[in-house]
Formats: sequence, structure tokens, C-alpha cells
Amino acid sequence: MTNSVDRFGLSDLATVLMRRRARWTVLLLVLLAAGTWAFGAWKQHQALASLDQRLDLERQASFSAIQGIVDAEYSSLASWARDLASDPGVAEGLRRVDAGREDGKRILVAWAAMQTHGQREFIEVYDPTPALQAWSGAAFPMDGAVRNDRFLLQELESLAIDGDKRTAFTAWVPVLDEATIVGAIRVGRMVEQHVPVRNEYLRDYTWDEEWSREIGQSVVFTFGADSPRSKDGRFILRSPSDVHLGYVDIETPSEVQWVAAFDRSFLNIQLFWLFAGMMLALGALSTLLWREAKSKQISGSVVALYGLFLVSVRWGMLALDMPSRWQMGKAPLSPLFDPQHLASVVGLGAMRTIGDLLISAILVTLFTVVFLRATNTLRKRVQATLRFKAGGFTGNFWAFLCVQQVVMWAGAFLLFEAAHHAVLDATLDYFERSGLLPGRLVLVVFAALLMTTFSVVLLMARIGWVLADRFRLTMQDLPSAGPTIVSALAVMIPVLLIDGLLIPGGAPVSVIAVVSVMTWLAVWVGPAQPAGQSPIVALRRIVPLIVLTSMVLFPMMEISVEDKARIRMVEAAESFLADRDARAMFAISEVLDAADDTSFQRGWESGVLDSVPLERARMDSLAEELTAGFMLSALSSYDVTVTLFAVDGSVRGRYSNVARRLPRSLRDAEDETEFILFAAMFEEFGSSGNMVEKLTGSTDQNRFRYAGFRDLESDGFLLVRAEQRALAESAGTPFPKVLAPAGYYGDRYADLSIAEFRGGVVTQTEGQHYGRSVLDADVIGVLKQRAELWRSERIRDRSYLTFYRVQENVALDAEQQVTAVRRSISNVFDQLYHLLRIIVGGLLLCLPIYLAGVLFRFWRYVPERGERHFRDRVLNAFFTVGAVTVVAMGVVGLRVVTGENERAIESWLRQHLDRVEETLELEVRGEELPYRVLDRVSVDSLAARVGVDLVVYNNLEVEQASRPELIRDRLIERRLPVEAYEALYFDGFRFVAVDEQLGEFAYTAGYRALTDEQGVPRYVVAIPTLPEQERIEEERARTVAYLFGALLLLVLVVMVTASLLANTLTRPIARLRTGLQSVAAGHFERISPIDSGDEIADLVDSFNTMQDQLEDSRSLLAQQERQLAWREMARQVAHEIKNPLTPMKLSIQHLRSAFSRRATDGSDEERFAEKFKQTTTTLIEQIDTLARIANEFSSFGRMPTHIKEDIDLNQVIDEAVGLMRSEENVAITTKYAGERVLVHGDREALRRVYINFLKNGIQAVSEGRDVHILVETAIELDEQGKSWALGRVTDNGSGIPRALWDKIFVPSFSTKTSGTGLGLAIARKTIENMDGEIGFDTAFEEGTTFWIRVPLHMPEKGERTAG
Amino acid sequence: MAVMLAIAVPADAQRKAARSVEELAGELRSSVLRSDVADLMPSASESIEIELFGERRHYSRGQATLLLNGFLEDSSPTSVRIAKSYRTPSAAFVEAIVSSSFPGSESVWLARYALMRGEWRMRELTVEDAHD
Repeated sequence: MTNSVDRFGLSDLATVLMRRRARWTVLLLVLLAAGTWAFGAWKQHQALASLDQRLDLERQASFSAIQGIVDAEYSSLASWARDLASDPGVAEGLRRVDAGREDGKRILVAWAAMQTHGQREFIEVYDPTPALQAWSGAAFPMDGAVRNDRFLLQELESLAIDGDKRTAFTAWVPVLDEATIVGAIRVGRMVEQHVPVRNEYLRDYTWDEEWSREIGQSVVFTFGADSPRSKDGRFILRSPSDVHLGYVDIETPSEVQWVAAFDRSFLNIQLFWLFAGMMLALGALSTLLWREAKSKQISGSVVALYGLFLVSVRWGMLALDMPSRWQMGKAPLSPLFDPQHLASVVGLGAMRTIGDLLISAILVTLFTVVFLRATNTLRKRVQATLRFKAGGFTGNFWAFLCVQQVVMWAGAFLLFEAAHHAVLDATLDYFERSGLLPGRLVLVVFAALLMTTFSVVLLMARIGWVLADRFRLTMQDLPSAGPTIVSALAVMIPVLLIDGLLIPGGAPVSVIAVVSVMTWLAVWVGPAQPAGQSPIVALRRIVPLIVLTSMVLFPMMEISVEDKARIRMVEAAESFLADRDARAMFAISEVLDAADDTSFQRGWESGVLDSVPLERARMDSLAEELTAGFMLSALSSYDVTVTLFAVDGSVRGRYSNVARRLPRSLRDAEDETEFILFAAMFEEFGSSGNMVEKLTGSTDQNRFRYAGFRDLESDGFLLVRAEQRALAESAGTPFPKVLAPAGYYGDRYADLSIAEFRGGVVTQTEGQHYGRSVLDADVIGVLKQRAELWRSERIRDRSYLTFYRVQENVALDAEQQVTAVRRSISNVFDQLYHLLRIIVGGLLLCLPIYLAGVLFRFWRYVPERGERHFRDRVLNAFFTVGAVTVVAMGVVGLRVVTGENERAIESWLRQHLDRVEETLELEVRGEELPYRVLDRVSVDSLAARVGVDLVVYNNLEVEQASRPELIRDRLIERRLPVEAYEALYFDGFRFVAVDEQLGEFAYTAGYRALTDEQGVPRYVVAIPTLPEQERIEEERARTVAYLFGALLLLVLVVMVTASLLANTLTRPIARLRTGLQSVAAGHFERISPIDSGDEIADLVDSFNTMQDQLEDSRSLLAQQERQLAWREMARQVAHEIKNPLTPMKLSIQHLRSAFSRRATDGSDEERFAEKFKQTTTTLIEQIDTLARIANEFSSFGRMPTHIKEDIDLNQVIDEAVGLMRSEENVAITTKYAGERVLVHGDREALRRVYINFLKNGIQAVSEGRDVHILVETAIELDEQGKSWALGRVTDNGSGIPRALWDKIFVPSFSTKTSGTGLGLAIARKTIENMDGEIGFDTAFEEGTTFWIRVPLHMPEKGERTAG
Repeated sequence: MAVMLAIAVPADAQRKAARSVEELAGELRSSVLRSDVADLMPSASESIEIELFGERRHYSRGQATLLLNGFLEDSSPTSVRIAKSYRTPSAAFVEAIVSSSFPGSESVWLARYALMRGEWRMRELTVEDAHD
């Protein structure tokens, strides 16, 4: 039962929500949405009335936009060309060329080699002839500008068309040497490029796709052609100087589509208002709870309602497709909402895309922040309760542990599921070895997962403390790590047992890691360090937090990546053969179907039936054309042969992708023999359609071959055969992956090595990691017992994971097939690299937060010097030194790795070019130079002998190539690159390596000059690293990964060392500081000694000696003070006693003299009697005085008598507080339970108890600080149903040292130099007289709470109470 | 010359349980027309290789569902014509021409199924512009 004023409940929330401002905001948003709808309906009605005109206008507008872009392109090209033409080097070079000087060309080539431009741009320098002198970039044929009368006289625009492969806008600018025209510059930029295959590296480039997306209409460009006829939506394209460029077709949507698009756009606006309302409500509610939680306790129902609201907002956004509906096309955030990167059905849409994952993570974080804030006071109370209440391990503790573990396991499970599916349901390569910085999308996923992980960990930790409060845990003096260790063990042991016995794979390990870390954080974060000491946005806090969070996330990501790889390995094992069969047979089927193509039929008919049959070479190319563009041409591991037979079985044409040494006549005879067999099979097949069969191999019965046979309707037959190559590397050059078309040709298992064994002997392999030809006996032994086996293997210092699977799931016998799929396992450096990438992702995420935090701190306040900590400074210094070192090492290491990689590539190229030259030298006749051999040797045979692809240049142009299709398809330029030209022809090098690009595929080509008798390069032989490039890049990536993995290790070592060293340095200083503060507070305690044996240890020892001496001095002083007090008291007593003694003595002397006089002279009896009476009266008076003095001293040392009555504790406290309020810098806050709290006791005594508590609280706060004292009352029921009144007085002082806890209530004990030391002893006596309890809770540097617990008095009906 | 032996394919038993290639084609057609591949995906393999206009990647089954549904919602197919269907003992191929309401938009869908444990599983799907 607490005061409702200090609690923020549902009714308070409802009051706030019903404020006028909130109502007006909702009304405004509703009006905006309704207005948008009405405006949209009106606009649509208007537009539909004249839709045709409108669409026509839209087409015109689109064309204007396109023409504007064309103009801008030409303007940009002309400007670029002018800049180049104005270069003095160009004019100088051309002038010298014009003068016939040889160095002119050299100047121009050197100049061209230095120019930089885009991949689709080119530069050419012409003399006035016009002859090409220098170039850079793509080689385009001459364009129509040369036919212009003003050629070389003025700037010209043109269009260069390179066959059907590519087209470019070009601009010509004359080069002037003063006023003389010495040549011209032509620059170009491609507007379309068609590639023969499409894959991840190669794609067509056209303006169509770009502009269709840009203007939202279907746009098709046709360059370099006249429009065959006019048509709606067709526009002629012209350059700014009216050069005809072609035409463009712009198709607008139909009415239905237009209406749908219009509706959608206005719906988007309406939903934006709704979205704005949701975000406003979210922001307002979060801010409200954040503010209220500072001074009030937020009720659980409000927190639950807030959570429900967040969930509603999230699902509302998902249901309405927000905000992805505004991220269509080229919107800046559209990749975030593209399911191609990540899309999971798990989480009911919370992970539908990367953007959705991020939004979910932000909302989880928001809830966590508010939840932590709302439960902060509770956490502090639980912390105090756990430490100091009497008791031990109780049933409550075990119940708490069970519930806490259930909550933690649930959180860990959800976290794991999120990370697991962020990997399984994504196409992103999170740990690609491209470098340290992850790609933008990977970064966003890391950020979202790190945020979620951090939030869930904090939530679980805080929920643990909330549960501790709910279960009223009572543990006496139990170190806070105790429950953590117990709970961690309670979880880990069964999990490890389950992991070992039941669950294969590593998922539980990650969960253990998560739970353990969470449990530890529950301890660390729960009783967090004193607030305000160090801001959360400090680098020294952010970095360790990110590292810790990353270490929680890392195992989950790693396991998920492993799981994903295992899924692919199982699939590969299941379908390796089947896929291969299917792909080969389908490929053959495609080629057989292609024979129906009209152009082939025409060619075949003219070749077979015409009176003059086509020559054999034409028929061979006809056979090759059948395979063009189909998968068959890309089956790199197959020997493919396509043979055309006349009806009599004679060979008319043949294409084969393998160079064989046999003469054509022998190969024809071989094919004609096979034809007989296939014709017989075809007859058996039914002599119609396509016959495709899987057959045993021609040379090895363990391998298969595939054959297709069909009847060519115009008298002839087509036979297509594909046979897998032998295990040994076949002759010929490797097929570069970059040239493999996508589609069914894709290399599905590129990163795996697959082998098939029959009877334990390898029959087929794919990939690089299979060198063994027989299965291990161990493996065979296991496979006889079960059909599948996962095995870690170490081969030549590299670790692999291999999956063995017996085909058809039956036991292994002599002929049974086993498929083995092998994948290299990441080593510790790989894993460190993976961890580093996550950490870098986290750091990049926190960078803006940190900067915002720094700005906020400077905006709100400038921290005082006293608030800074020596430990923080040490940590900062170490972090700075560590960061600088790591960055420096990273940069240098990366450069070294890159340099080594380049050297390795160059070395590879040199070696192969040397082999080319050596091969040529073997063919040399007499004294001739090797270049002459090229005049008579085919480049194909040379390439096959060396085992690489070759390109031979003569007179700067390609003369021969082992893959002529690369030149034909413009994948390799027909012109020698200008860099090679400069190095080989002018700089005198014999070898040069040039970086080149094939689509998105970067590679290096090596060029070797073969010089003639005059030493001039006659031929240039080039080797591209196409097939080798991936292997080289993989090596480089691995080295980079190892480098960064090692750097992370260094970072971790630096961080741990920094923390340890900072602690070592600052701990004794902190102890000294505490000791000095104790001295200031009047306590002379020893601090823990330091055993480091250094100066700091001496300092601590000296301090302790000083403390001892101070303590002795204080005791001595106190003793002297007491002696003085006793002396003073004795003097007072003596003085007081002496005062009546003198009159008494005098009276007795008077009486004696009177008595003597009466005896000697017989004086008057009456006078004596009078004197006697007077004297005895005086004596009695003086004796009374003495008795009074004795009584007064007696009452001074005696406790007053207690008068018990029913009193209101709240009123008594008010009286006590009223007396103390006048103190300076003291703020006393009261929180009462109800209006009255009745107890039975002495009002005055109870008031003195509270006055004592308050005085103690005020004196416990160091001088100069503000005193904050909270006085509370509460009512509670114990287990027997008895009611108790509770009173607490909490100060913000320095706390009570551990050593004094037992002495606090001992009489005459005081840490103060004033007072009798009886206050708390009297207080205990008072409370015990009321049948109550008294005690205290204290925390160092946080404060102390003194509490009393007395029986609550229930007044009888009609009974009145005092006060 | 090497001896040639036609390999007897143990496909009869599989064919009994598995659907015909025509059924697969019909399923693909109806799913595309409904713009919902939810019925198609349960029979897909755990990971499926999809190419959408040149972007070719391996997707999980769930990701493929969301990706293709989103794609179909955007392209609004109006008609599907099965151009070719072909099967080998262990695989089936279906080629469909898909037209959408957007002018000039026609795409080719190429699906490959693998016969795994007696069930056809979609392993590969290529969607490309019909005009390329």
C-alpha cells in the first residue's frame, strides 16, 4: 500500500492521453487523411475525363526529360573533351607527331596512360589525317563525324556503333597548337552494351531499364537507326547539334493501370498521415513514461500496456506495408526492403526484410530503455534487500531461479532464432573476406542484431531483478556473485548433458553462451555502479559493451552460417549425380531442339541438298552455332561433340570443345562408327523425336556420357555427345567462370569439393580438395553401420568438414556409391575475423550515437573536473594507443598483403609467359627469333601446350586468340591497352602486367613483347588471369582475414590489459580516496593493504599507520575529555555541596556557642530555644538543599519514565521533521502510508528516536553536499497476519563502514566528537519498549536507511487516540 | 570402341509416386496466375536457386516465398503459357511464358525440379525478360 501520488497507473495514463492537445492532434491527422482522400478522388475524376491527352502529355514530358538527359550527356562529353584538348601535353605531342618526330607519339601515349575514366568511357587522340595516335579505354570504330564538312574545324557530336555489341555517344574537339589545328580528341560514353552471357559478372547495359525505372513507363531505345514508321509514343532522338541518334518508344500504362497507380500514390499519402500519427503517439508515450519514471513508480500494467502498444504499432506497420511502400524503385532505402537480400517468414513479419528487422530491433530497444527506466527504483530496492536482510537460501530463491531461467531461456531462444534466420533466410555473405568494413546491408543487419541482442540481454537481466523483488528474496551477506554462479551452474550442467547426449550440432552451445553472459550481466547491470559517475556514451563504456554484445551474437551467427553450409552439403550429396545427369541431358535436349530453328534448317539444307554443298568449314561452324547460347557450351568439365551426319551416315560437320590431335579423317571415321550404333538405338526408340540417353563412358566405365540423337527432317541426323573429362586435367585451357552463363549453368556448389566413390574407389570429383582416390577404412567401417557420416578431417595443415553419404540410404557394399562433400573449416583466425566484422559493425552503429551523446553532454553541461576519474583517463589513454596501433598495423598489413598479392599474380604471369617463349623456342628453326614461330604456329595449339589462354597482338591489334569469342563479343578489346603499349613499345620493358575489367570481374593480364631483329616488338603475347584470378583472390582474402583476425586478438589483449592495468593503478588510489573521505567523516579506519610491494603499497601502509596514530590520538583525546568532564563535575558537585556546608557549619557553631553560653551564664532558655529552632531549621534547609542537589544529579543520569499512549506515527514524524527543517542544505521528503499510522508508545521518546535518526542522517553527509533525507512509513502484514507499522529514514550519506555495524546500537559508542553516544542505544531501548524492532541497511557511498518495525495499533470502536 | 550400355534407370518406382511433369507445369501456372507461390514452395527444396532478371542467388524456401510473391504482386501476371516441359529420369524442366498487364512486359520462367526421395523438389527458377 503506497501513496497514489507517487505511482503512475492506468488512470494517470488515461488522464494524460485525454488531454486537449492529444485530441486535437488526432483530429488534425484524421482531417489530413480525409482531405487527401477527397483531393485524390477529385483529381482522379478530373484526370479520367481527359486521360488520353494526359497520357500523351506524360509521354511528351518523358521524352523531354530523356532528350534533356541526352543533351546533358553530350554537353558533359564536350566539356570533358575540351578539358582534355586544352592539355598542353596533347598539343605538344600532336605538334611533334606532325613534325615527324618519334617522341610525339610517346608523349601522347604516356599522356593517355595517365588518364582516368569510367569503365564505359574511352578517350582517343587523332592527328589531322585522322590517324589514331593514343587511346585509353574501349576501342570503337570511327563514327560519322569524319564525314562532316566541319570535321577538325569545330566541335562535333556523333554516335559510334560497334556492330551489334555496343553503342556510344561521342564528342570530337579539335586540338589547337596556338591557332593551328594539330589533331582532335574523341571521347565517348557507352549507352548500350550487349554481352554474350549473363551471370554475376556480366550483364547487358542499356538505357531502357534505367529510364523505364526512372520515369515509370516502358522506354525502349533504338540507337543508330531510322524509325521504320511513325507510332504513338515514338520520338526521334537528336543530339544538341541535331545529329540523328535513333528513336525511343515510350509506352504509357493502360487506363486500369493508370488508375491503380494513381490510387496507390494517394493511398500512400493517406497512410503517411496514419504513420505520422503512429510515430507521434509512440514518441509521446515513450517520452511521457521516461519522464514520469524519474519521480514516480510506473505500474506494471502501464508498462505492459506500453509493450502492447509497441507490438500493435509493429504489426500495424507490417499490415500496411509501412514504410516499405514508400521505398519502391530507386528510393534511397529501397535495398533495405528488398527480399532478395533477407526475407524470413519467422517472426510473423518482424524479419520480412532487412528494413523490417531493423525497425523491430529499434522498437525492442525502445521498449527496453523505457522498461529499464520504469524499474530502476525497484532494482535499487531489491539490491539493498538482497544484501542485508536476515535469512538464507529459501524456497523463494529456488522458485525465483526456476522462473528466471525460464524467462532467460525464452529470451535466449528468441534471440537465437532471430540470428539463425537472419543467416538462413539471407543471401548476404556476412563474413566475406573483402576487408574489414562490412557492406552497407550487412552492416544494417549486424546493427539490428546487436541492438536486439543488447536489448534482450538487458531485459532478461532486469526481469531477473524484478522477479527477485516479486519472490522477496532474503539472503544474508551472500555475495552478489553467489546466485549468479549457482544459476549458471544450474543451467550449464543439464544443457551440457543434453548437448552431449541428445542434440547434434552446436546450437545449444550458443544458447549457453548467451544465457551465461546474460546471467552475468544480470549481476553487473542490475546493481549498476552509482549513477552519474560516468556517462553511458563514453568510449570506454561503449567499446567494451559492443565487444561483449558481439561476443554474445558471434556464436549464434557462426553456428547459423555452419548450419547453412551443412544444408548445402547435404543437398550436394543428395543430388550431385542427379543434377549432373539432368543438366547434361537437358543441355543435349536443348541443342537437339535448336535444330528446329529456321536459320539452322536453311543452312543445313543449303549445305546438304544444294547442288553445291557448303564447304566443310561452313558446316563445322553450323554445328557450333547449334550450341551457342545454350548450356552445352558451358559444361566446362565435359568433352562436348556435336556431329552432323548426312542420311548415309557420313560426317558433314562437327563441333568439339576439345582440341584433339587426331586428323579429321580419323575422327570422322570414329564418328561414323558410332553413328551406326546410335542409328540402331534410335530405330529401337521409335525413330522420332529426340532420343537422349545416359551411357557408360567411352574410356572409363565408372564415368558416364550423355548422348542425344535426332532425325533432321531434311535428310540427315544430329548426334550430340557430352562426356565427363577424366580425373587428370585434360588438355586445353581452363574455362573461366566469368564466361559461364547463368541459368542452369550456374556452379551451384562452387565452394564445395565433391567426390563420388564406387566400391570405395573415386570415380568422379569436382572442386580442389579431393586428392585421395580411395575411401578411408575408418569411413567405410562407419558407413557400413549407418548411411551418413559427418567427419572433421585434417589434410596438409588444413581442416575440412566432410559429409559422407551412401546413395539410396542402404548399407555399403562392394559396388555401392558413396558421395563425399568436403568444405574447408574456418580456423581460429577466420573466426576472429568474423567476430571483428561484427564488432566493427557495432562500432559503426555506435559512432553516431557516441557523437550525439558528446554533443548532448556539451549542450547540457560541461563536466566538472571533480567528476572525472583517473581510471577513465588511463583507459582512454590505452584505448587511444591501442586504436592507433591497430589502425596503423591494419593499414600497413593490408598494403603488404595487397602488394604480395600483386607480386604473386605478376610472378604467375611471368612464369607462364616464360613457358610460352620456351615453347616457341622449341619450334625455332636455325637462328630465327621466336617471334617468327608465331607466323606458322596456331595460337590454339600453343595455348593448349602451355595450359593458359593466349591473345597475340600484332601491330597493336589482336591477331589471334585462343578464345576468339572474347574479342568477337568485345569482352577483350581488340586494341592493345595503352599501358602495355607505353611499357613495351616506349619504355623498353619486355613484360608488363595491366589491371583489366571484364564486366564486374577484375583481373590482371600479362603482356610479353616478342621483338624482331631490330629490337622492336613484333608481336605481343598476352595472358589473362581469368581462371586463376578467383584462386588468387581467395588466397588474398584468406590472408586479409587472418590479418584482421590477428588484429582483433591484439585489440582484445589491449583492452583486457588496459582494464587490468587501470584497475591495478586506480584501485589503491580509490582506496586511499575512500580512506581520506572516511577521515573527513571522522572515521579512522585502516584500508586494505596492497601487496604490490611498490611505492603505492608503501603509501597505503603509511596511510594505515597514520590512521592508527589518529585513532590512538582520538581515543586519548576522548579519555582526556572524559577526565576533564569528571573533574568539572566533581568540582561542580564539590562547589554545590560546599555551599550549604558552610552555613551548616556556621549554624552548628552558633548553636554550640549558644549552648555553651547557656551552661556558663544560665542565659535565657527561651532565647536558646529560639536559637536552636532557628539553627536546626537552617540545617534542615541546607540538608534539603543537599538532597535536592543529589536529586538533580540523580535525575540527570536517570532515564525518564515512559508514558504510553496511542499515537499517530505520521504525526510524530511531522513534529520531528518540523524541528529539523530549519537546517541549511537539508531536504527532507516524507512519504506516508495512509493518513494515520497508529502505534502504542511514548510520544516524546518516539519523537526523540526520529530526531536522532534525522540528526545522524544530516551528519552522515559530507560537508558541502546537499542532504536528501527520505522519511517513509508503511504498513505490512506478516505471515501470522499481524499488522506492523514500518518507518524508514534514508539519507544520501557515505554509508556505515562494515566494521561499525556491530557497534551502532552499543551505548556510549559514537563516531562523533560531540554527544554522549547514547542516542541510538536510547532509540533501541525505546523501540524495544514498544515491542518492536530496529535496524539499518547501508551501502557504501550511497547512503543508509534506519528502519523501525513496531506493532500497528488497531483502535477499538469509539476509542480516541492522542494527537 | 568402348562398349556402350544403356543404363537402366530405376525410375518406374519413382514415377508411381511422383507427379508428372505436366502436373508440375500446371502447378507452376496456377501459382503464377494467383500471384502466390505458397502452394509451390512446400515442394521446393530447403534452398532454391532463383534468378530474377540477371540477379541469381540461393534462397531459403521461406525467403523464396516472400521474394516471388513480392515479385508477382509487382508484375501482376495476366496469362501464363507453358512453352516447354521436359524430364529426365532425375529432373524435370518447365518453361513458361508469363505476360503481365504492364505494356510490353513478358517474362520467361524456367523451373528445374529434382526428384528427391520420390518427390519432385523445385531446385532452380530462372526468370528473364522474354525479349532478351
